[in-house]
Amino acid sequence: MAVNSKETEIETEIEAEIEKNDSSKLKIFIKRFFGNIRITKKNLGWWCLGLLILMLFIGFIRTLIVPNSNYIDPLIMIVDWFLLLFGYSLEYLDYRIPIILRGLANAATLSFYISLISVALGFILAAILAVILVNKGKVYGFKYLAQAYVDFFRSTPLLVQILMVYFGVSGMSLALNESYGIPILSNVISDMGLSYEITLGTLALVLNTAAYQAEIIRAGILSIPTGQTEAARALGLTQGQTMSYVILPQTFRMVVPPLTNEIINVLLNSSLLSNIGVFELTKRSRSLQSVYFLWEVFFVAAIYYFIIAFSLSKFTKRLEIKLRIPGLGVSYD
Amino acid sequence: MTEQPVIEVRNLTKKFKDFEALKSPGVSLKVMPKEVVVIIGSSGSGKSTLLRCMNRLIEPTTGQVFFNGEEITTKEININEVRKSIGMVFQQFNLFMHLTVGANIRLPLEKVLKLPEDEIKRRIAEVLVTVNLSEKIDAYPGELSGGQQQRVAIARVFAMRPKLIFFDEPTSALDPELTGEVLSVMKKLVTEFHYTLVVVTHEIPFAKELASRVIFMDEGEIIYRGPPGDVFENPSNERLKKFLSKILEMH
Repeated sequence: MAVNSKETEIETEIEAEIEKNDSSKLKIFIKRFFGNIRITKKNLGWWCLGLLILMLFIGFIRTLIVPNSNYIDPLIMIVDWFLLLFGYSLEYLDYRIPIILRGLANAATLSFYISLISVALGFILAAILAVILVNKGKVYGFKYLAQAYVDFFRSTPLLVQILMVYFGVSGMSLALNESYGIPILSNVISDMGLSYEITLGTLALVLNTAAYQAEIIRAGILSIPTGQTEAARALGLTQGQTMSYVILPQTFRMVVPPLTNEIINVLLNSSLLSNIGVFELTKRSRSLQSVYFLWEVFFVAAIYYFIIAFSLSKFTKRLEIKLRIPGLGVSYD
Repeated sequence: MTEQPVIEVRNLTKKFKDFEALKSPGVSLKVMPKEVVVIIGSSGSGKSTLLRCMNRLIEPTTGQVFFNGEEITTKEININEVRKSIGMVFQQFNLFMHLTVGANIRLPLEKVLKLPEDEIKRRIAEVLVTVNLSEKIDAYPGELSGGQQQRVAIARVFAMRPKLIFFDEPTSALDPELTGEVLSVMKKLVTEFHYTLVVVTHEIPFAKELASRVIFMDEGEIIYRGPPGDVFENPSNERLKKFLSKILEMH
């Protein structure tokens, strides 16, 4: 035992000496840094997601350098290398596969952007609506208007709303042009460099999701104990200050889980925009199917939807934990 | 010349939908500067309603409230200005859960009193020393015990330097062990800083020690008022006797 302890003493001395050396310091730093990285059952999903995003990011950088390339190319390449082990390649299996994968990847980006923008704009509108809805004050006209808006958009089908916005706005724009000489909206929008269908489709989604989100935020506001309002008012804060400094900051942490639902809903609902000719994921897969006669196109589209929706839900889960307040609502698992 | 009361209530009544919380002809009450008025009474007797009517957290049905001789129950008055000088501590603490202890105290100083930054910092440090919680400045209310939370709530009110502080059953949500620390802070406010307090409480020892007057309420009326010696030692009122015997049984 005595010998052993002496040996360990010597070892620690050597280690101390090594630490003084600069180059070995770096080694120890690297060891510490990578020593913290472990792949376990729990974080396996995060690793896959991280790798996927890394590949997509590399692909995105590549599109800036290489002309006529797609951001999904690196992923296809990896699959190709894997198949090469067995003596195949994707193009050899079926020449249509890479075309479909690339075509749908572009459409998936469009779907993703449309739903993200819709949710973000809808959130702003919804917050205003929710504050009007919970207000006990004298803004009665506004309250009825907001309630009517929410009721209408929650009780009619989204497809009808999309068609109504698209054809309604187009028709009104034409009528206004005829009688007052106001420039036609489709020309104005395309002059701005935007697609007319995408803009109006996004507008319809914003109007729809705002109604749902308004109800979510309203419920969130009502879930904050009345004591918080009482205390704020007793301290001399005005009604507006109470709302913006006390109630809403707490509400936003409470509504992250139900809003996750809404984000996913909007993403999946964006497939209805195919009806007004927006070339998003569903529309693109239909057109590819009509060219190549492959039902698998829809399967690929489903996988793309799944990847986007799943990673969004993962990220909002992360957000939930980040925004956690001790002793309030959402808790850690 | 007689001294002006800090707050005066004249014939205050409050009727909720089908429940008379404060009965007509109404409650009348005067609180003089540096007085500690303790309101006792069983639950549902209108103590909390009276307190909330005095800073208009609840709008009274009829009656008037005067603060420093000025009526505050009229529509024209800006109640937020008045509330700057009337503090209130609640039974359920009601700290802002999403803000740290420091930020809780800072919010009213910054947004209501609009003090300069260095004054805000000075006051936060000062009040936290007073309530003995300087090390908790960056903690969230959810991480504190009930007693600590209530002390922070007192600090938050105290930092505003109000003329008058209401306590609405400050210790009812706490166990006996934590009650002591809150009561000692309240004692400090009276003995060191000579604050005017209106306290709704069931803590008879506290009332005996510090109250200048005790008010007994039952079923929406003030039944009895007098110095604590009179009220607790030889109660002359039948309902008061009954209430006190029940309370003493409990403790």
